[in-house]
Amino acid sequence: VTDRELVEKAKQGDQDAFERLVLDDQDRVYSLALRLVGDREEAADLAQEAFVRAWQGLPSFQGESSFSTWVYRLTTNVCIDHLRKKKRREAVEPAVSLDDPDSGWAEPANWELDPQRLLERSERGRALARGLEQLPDWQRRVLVLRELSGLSYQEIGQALDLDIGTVKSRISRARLSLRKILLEDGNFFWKRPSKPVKKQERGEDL
Amino acid sequence: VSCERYHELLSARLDRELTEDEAEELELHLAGCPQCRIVGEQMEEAREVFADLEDTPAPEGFARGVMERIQAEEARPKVIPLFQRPQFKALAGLAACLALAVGLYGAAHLKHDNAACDGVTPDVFSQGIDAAAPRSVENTEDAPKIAAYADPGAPLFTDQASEDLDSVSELPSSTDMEPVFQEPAERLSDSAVLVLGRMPEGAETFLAEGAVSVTYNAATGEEGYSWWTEGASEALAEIERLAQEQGITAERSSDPAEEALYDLVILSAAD
Repeated sequence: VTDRELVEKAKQGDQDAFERLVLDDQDRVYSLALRLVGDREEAADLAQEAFVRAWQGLPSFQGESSFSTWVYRLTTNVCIDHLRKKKRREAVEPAVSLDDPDSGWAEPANWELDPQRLLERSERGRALARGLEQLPDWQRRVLVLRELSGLSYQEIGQALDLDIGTVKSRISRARLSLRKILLEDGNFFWKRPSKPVKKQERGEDL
Repeated sequence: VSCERYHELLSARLDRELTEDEAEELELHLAGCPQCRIVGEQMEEAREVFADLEDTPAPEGFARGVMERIQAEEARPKVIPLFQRPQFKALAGLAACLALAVGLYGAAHLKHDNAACDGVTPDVFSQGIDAAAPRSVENTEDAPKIAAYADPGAPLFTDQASEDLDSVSELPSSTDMEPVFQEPAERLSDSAVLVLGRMPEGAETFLAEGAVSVTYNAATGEEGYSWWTEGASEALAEIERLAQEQGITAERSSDPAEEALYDLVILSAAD
């Protein structure tokens, strides 16, 4: 059965068909939410919410994009709404700001590895996932919105109430941090410089 | 020489967010800086691996949970509870005569000295929305970032307002009108409010006509605005549908006390 057929059935109220769609996309959707909000419980709740909205929005889903692309976009929106609310709440009760770069490293994401994580696809995909987990929220979030949700700098700025310059520099810092983590990881980078350079020039001490 | 600036340019280049000048400047630098060349290559390499990024498996029972939530939603009554109080209808008539218009504004830009209505505490505009306002109500978790003002001279939902609620900079002042002020508004227990995380795009289509009234919560003494129109139930349903399509939080609230927490309340009237 194709996605399209499942969508058609679900549109007619077939909940089993919809559940199949959920099962097909749940890991991707959950992972996106997790990477955006950084908390497993919140992520599961938001990812479920995204699917509920997909169900409710089905009548108007025209199929211009695939179902999974659409749900992915809904998930991004649901998470952005959540982050904005959270930010406002925290502005009311002054605590550590969500977007305070200086507080980021103090609370690095330190998730235990999921047992199922051991059934991985590719070593590098796994290394990248580990690397992302180690980024502070304020770096991971912008990078994920860029790389996974595919938002432009301007869209990211609107979503997180940041000016474009800040988005640009945060993404850059996120990539530099990620690069550093992946270098330490050891086997991530395959490409070697086209001509031999001294170790320090390879940027390993940057 | 610090290469920090070039790292930023390298990153922006990956996202095609460089201006021509920046691109040129970067090329020039890269020609003489092997370190930055490597940083650039590695950034690019890391970006490519995002395609193979490993997912974290969703927790046990995830899909079942989704289906349970859907079934719970389906079980909720579809009929929108209505406002039927006679005094409210009378008020609506009065409000309609005043031909008030409604606009939506991001509260961060509202200025207190620019408050729209005489006789209305300007603070009402910042309630629960102005990040800097120390007096924000505690329970702002679900308060939408929406504020309403009443002004007979303002256009209904300018394009700008509907496109980007947060960027509207000025609140038009209006001193020549009286807000409709309702005595302690008691909500019927079966009435409902549609609470939106933000206004969905296209919502203005459904809010073409209506009236604004100032209400306050008898229990808390807090003020808020209500948007009111005949036959709003369809409008409400349409706005809710738009919100769902766009993935925006949209919840029906039936707790009378909650109304006061929101800056704009859309009430539906009996058809």
